[in-house]
Amino acid sequence: MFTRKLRPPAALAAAVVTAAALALTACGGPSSSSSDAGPASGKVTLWMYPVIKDETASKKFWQDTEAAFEKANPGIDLTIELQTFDKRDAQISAALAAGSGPDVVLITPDQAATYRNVRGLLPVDEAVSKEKDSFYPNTLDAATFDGELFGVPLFQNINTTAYNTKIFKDAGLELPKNWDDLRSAAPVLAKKGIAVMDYAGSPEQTLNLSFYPLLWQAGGKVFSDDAKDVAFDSAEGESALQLLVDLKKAGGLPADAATDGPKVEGAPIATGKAAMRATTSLPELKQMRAALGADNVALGEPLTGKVQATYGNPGLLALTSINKKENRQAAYTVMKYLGSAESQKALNAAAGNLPTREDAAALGEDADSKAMAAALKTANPGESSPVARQVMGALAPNIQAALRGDITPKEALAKAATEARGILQRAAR
Amino acid sequence: MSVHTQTRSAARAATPPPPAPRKKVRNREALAGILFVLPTLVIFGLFKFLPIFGAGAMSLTEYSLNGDFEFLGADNYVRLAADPNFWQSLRVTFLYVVIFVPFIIAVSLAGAVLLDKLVRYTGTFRALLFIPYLSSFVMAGIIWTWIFSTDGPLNAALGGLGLGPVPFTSGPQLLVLLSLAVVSVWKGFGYSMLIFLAGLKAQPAEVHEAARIDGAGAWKSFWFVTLPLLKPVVFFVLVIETIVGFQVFDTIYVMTGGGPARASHSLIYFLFDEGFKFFDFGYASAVGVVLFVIVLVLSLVQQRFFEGKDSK
Repeated sequence: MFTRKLRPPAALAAAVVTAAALALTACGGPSSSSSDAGPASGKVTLWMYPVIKDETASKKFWQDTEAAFEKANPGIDLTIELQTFDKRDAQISAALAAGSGPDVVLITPDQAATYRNVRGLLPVDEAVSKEKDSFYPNTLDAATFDGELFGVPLFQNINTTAYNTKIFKDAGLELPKNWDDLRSAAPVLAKKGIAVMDYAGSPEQTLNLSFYPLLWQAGGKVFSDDAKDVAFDSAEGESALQLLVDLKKAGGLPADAATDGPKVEGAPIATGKAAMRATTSLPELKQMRAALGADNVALGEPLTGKVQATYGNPGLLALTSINKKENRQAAYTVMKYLGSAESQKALNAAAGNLPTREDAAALGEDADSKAMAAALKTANPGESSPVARQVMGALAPNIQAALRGDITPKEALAKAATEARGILQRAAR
Repeated sequence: MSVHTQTRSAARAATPPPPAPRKKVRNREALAGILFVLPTLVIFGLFKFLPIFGAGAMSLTEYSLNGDFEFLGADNYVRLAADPNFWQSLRVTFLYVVIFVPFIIAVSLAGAVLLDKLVRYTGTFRALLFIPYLSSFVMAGIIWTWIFSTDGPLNAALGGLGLGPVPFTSGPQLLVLLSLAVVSVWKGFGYSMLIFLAGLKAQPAEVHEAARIDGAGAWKSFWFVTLPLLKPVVFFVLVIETIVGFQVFDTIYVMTGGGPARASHSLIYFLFDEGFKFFDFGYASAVGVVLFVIVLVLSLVQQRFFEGKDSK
């Protein structure tokens, strides 16, 4: 009954993961125990998130993965629990504080930095010790703090510009490639009641997907090189925020941009009220095509300000502090299995992400895959700091205030920087 | 006769007098009462009092996710007093309570009075008005976000009248808080309405009849008879809704995320951010303790106020 509901891509994904699982079992590759002392055993709970956007396909994929893993590792009882991205930090922190959370959890590099700072994570070097050279160095770097690895890179999530090509064609405009193009297209489209760019200014949205890419495009940084100070209150930061404010004034951002969330469904980009989105992942691209028609949506390169930049982060499998010593090897085995080339190929085929290993095949040869692969070259994995999330909490409301016209971009960044420096000082104590 | 008397006296001296039957019954009733209340007391103690003391203890520490903690004394409270974001959240919360509490009391009392006047289909209307209370906050928030959005039906209707668009959830602070209060009132008035309705049904009919005979109209009868008799219920609802107002979170989380520019960043939202987004559990606990004290003091003040009015 479950199988009957599967759509072709989901069925293909299931077939791929099953084939991968069988291959792994036959080869005795990543599925065998990681310990020389004999097969690992124990119970491991893994919290996974909607990396595969289709809920049914996601459920099927992770059920099959769990079954295949347990078949290959009979001594380990793996439970994969599917969570939602909503209130992710709250769920994880509450569970860990109560000692009842997952052994392994999927997080981003800046989350890893924050969790490590509050002693919520354990190092995982042992899980990849023999295969470290197979991983792209940038993905390992993003998860390395003080020389220790705090997450096994599972996939790379890349974002780039997506256009509603029909809007630009109808208006006789070229697709904007840089900030100047944006500024000139904004008033033209505003006359038709369309915002040139969608923007999610809600404080619940990570700035990695909203303001930070613009900051990086301006040549700026969130933190100083030694991460002991913030650096967004610079001329570059000001020009990035000024761009948003200028676009808002020219009708180039949706009216509710200061409070809009990141969802595609029902957002201005999906209803034809906005012409492009600067940070779009492949699963979001699918949602846009479903809403606007496949022929009306195309991917492009990341926007260019002073430089070209976008956000692309590895998804990390991190080991939490509640993992017990007797289950440690079992947890490493799970991480090693899921981080293997074969598992990555299966996951990326199902989710549309990029691999973190050189020996795992990249995406296909189609235009979307090529655009994502190209965007990877200018992707910033997010600036790691133990207080990355707190600094976002200080910056986001002030960006909102600037977008509303309450304060100037310079005042907004100065106010946020004062608050952020207080956060950094407290963290350094 | 005297022998009998002597024997009885001796017996009385040898054994203590048996307890009077009434006292025995009273003790048994008291024991039964305690046994009936005990499960609630245990649950209340475990899930209400213990967390309060736990939060109080945690507020004196820096608590890590792995369970390690460092004793800080009153540092978290000192930091709180100097934190402008805390004072901003406190201001937002008070402002919201001032808008929300009279609003929800007026709406639920009006609903209860209307239901009390109905002679037919009372159950149907009661159920219909109670439905929003049973809906989820998240669903309500999502639907109301759409209603309030620039492209939503409310702005479309205003546009038809040549007004707007009104930035209900992204405009000035008062408008944002009012919009949030509308959603909370819509979602929550059913509960207080039923309490008011029970209070109205319990009022003696002869008092209202006497007022009618004395020539009191509907408004005078409501103002000088119904409302004074309803005072204990009003006090109860006032306390409950004040607490609900101070604890506002879900609506804000779904609709504004505490924004724009912290315009709706309530105290509970501040606590949520500090505890569950930034993992500063000790500091978040200090916020919780302060909120507990504020609500406790306000409840006591309200009680005094109502008792004072009653005694006059």
